[in-house]
Amino acid sequence: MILNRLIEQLPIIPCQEATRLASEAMDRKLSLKERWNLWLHLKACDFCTQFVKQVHGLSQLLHQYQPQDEKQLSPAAKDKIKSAIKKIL
Amino acid sequence: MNNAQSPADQWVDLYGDALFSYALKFIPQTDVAQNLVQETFLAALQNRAGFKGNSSEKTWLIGILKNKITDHLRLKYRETPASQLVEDNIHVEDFFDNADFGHLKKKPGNWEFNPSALVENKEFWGHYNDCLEKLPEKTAQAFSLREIDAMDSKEVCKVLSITSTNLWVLLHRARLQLRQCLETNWFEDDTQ
Repeated sequence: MILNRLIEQLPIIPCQEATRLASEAMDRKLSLKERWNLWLHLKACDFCTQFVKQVHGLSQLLHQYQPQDEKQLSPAAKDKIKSAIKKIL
Repeated sequence: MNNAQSPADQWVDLYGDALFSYALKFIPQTDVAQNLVQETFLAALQNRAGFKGNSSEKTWLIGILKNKITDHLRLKYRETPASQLVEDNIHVEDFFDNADFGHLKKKPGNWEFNPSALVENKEFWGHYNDCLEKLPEKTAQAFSLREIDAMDSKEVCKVLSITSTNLWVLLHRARLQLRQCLETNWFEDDTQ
């Protein structure tokens, strides 16, 4: 309670800045001041907390990505590749 | 005439679409993506000995394709004038309210990326592709190199000929836009 009230008194960065820092934290080491600003913002903001969870989740999902056949070569494109292969065999 | 499929034909039928799907995550032009898939098959056939059998054939082919993609991008951006480096048709401020805290205009929904449910869901990846296609080309490339290929930030900068600051700007935009697009087109779409 006391902590929450204290936090309300502190200067908090806007969401645009917070999402920028949260994104950059995935690609570089933030400075101590940046980490503090981000932490403080996330303590006070549900929107950005959820945003951060989701972009982290997206990142984890993409690390596991294995291509399937969600997009397909046209039959013509396949034929073209097959005949290119025949030429070198 | 012999109509039986040669082993090479079967290879194209077996792995062609997966390679093409992978290439499209980095290369939006279908003709260029197709050429890279073709080059991958040719390089693989000429270097069958390079296949050690300690990974799957598909993984081996994807490895070759990855190199083709990064070589292609390196060459492409080596020749791009510096003034065109950062695309600015996504405006970060458009995602936020002007008032108070400047919250995201729409509160992120109560959903999560559940890898076990999504990683093999072809329909999801189709939607993912549609969302990725809406990003400016270089923004999408920065994002895919960093997240799918898990390339080091410095290396991504080299491939795309951009500074670290440029890269961070592109990735912030990509995450804002992709998250929002997937929320609208997948997580909140009742037809799923």
